[in-house]
Amino acid sequence: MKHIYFLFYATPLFFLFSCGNPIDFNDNQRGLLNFKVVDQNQGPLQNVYIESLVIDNASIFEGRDIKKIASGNTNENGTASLTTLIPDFYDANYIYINGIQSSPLDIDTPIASDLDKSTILILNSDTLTNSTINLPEVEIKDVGNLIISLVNTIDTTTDIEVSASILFDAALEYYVFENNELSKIDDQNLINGTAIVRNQFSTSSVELRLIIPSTVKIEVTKSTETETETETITLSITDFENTYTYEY
Amino acid sequence: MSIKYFSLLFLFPLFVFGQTEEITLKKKNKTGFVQAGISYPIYLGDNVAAEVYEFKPGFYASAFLFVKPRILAGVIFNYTNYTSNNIEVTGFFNEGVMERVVFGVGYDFTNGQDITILATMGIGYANFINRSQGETFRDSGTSFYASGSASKNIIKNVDGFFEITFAYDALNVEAPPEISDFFNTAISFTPALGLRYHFN
Repeated sequence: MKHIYFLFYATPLFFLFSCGNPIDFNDNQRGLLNFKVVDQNQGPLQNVYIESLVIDNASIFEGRDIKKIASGNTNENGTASLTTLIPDFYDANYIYINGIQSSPLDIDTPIASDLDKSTILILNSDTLTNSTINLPEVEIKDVGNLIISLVNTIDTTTDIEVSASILFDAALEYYVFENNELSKIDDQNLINGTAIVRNQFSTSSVELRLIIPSTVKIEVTKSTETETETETITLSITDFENTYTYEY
Repeated sequence: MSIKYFSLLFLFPLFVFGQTEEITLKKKNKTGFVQAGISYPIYLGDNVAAEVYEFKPGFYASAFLFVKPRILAGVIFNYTNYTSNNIEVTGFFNEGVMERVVFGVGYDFTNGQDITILATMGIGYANFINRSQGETFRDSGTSFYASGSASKNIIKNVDGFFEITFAYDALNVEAPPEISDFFNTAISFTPALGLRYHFN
């Protein structure tokens, strides 16, 4: 009877522990990923770093497994032809253009290799095999920094709650590659923040990395116990280094 | 680094064969030998091994038996580490190991004399075992080889030998047509030197 109990518990445990083997690579196989990267004026961009990785989310014990399969740079024609390893299984294939994996925990927000250019993350839905995948031309853009400061100019001794939403063109763009087409799935970032302001001239600042030129929308809501006031400001950002101060 | 090793491979035979002593020891009725030494493969052609991999000095060993007075049969094992200096071309890995096991037949031109000259040829298996992020995967296939060696007796049953092996590895890598040929062929000359022990 003990043996039956053992089998009853051991079988599912064995199954669970044996799930989630790390991603391995197939013997005797290679694939090819072809790229072309241009700038905002459609000129070829040289030395843009490209990295492709595969992700397996299967295991509840071993966690997520991530393996790089290809990397390289574009040449003087803005093209890159990267040989890939072929994984034995995976859940998703990510391609970063001008980006590197920021951490094992955050694969959706790569860090730009060249901080002056935007980054593109492509979720490749084509199956990786020993064949060639030709990705459509992608455009990466010039990027600048913008510092937005919210400064309290109200002479007050009572608390004022100020919340600000900032919508801006992201320097990180997301695409899906499916059926030989790239589809953009997100191109704007939203930063939300709340500050409780007690003193005059208290400041809340945020630094944004955004595509230049672009538009930033700031929605500021001031609340006291008796009233709420909302204001929307639209900024056109054309310079690379900006500091905008909004006084409330 | 590689030039130094390569120079040593050629200097050693001069040392071995440059001796002026009279040859007095004659080996008769040999049954076979085992040998081991260092090797350094030089890859040629328009292929990944020649253009991207950087090989290090490796290990070379073989064992042969005389099946007839001048005819040998045996096995050769070769092992060499390499690094990839262009991940863009090879796929994402930095290092690997080349293993080759081949079975061959040979002919002894000298038949038991103090200096032995052998030629062998055969077929076997070549394995390029690549390491990436804690995993290994293989590029493998059939290996055809031919070699010539010269050895000189040093003490009793021990010879110093120098051998050059030509190998043509036909690998079975499935890849897009643009890069298929690049991954499917490896052509090499491998000088090796070391010690040979004869069984009498």
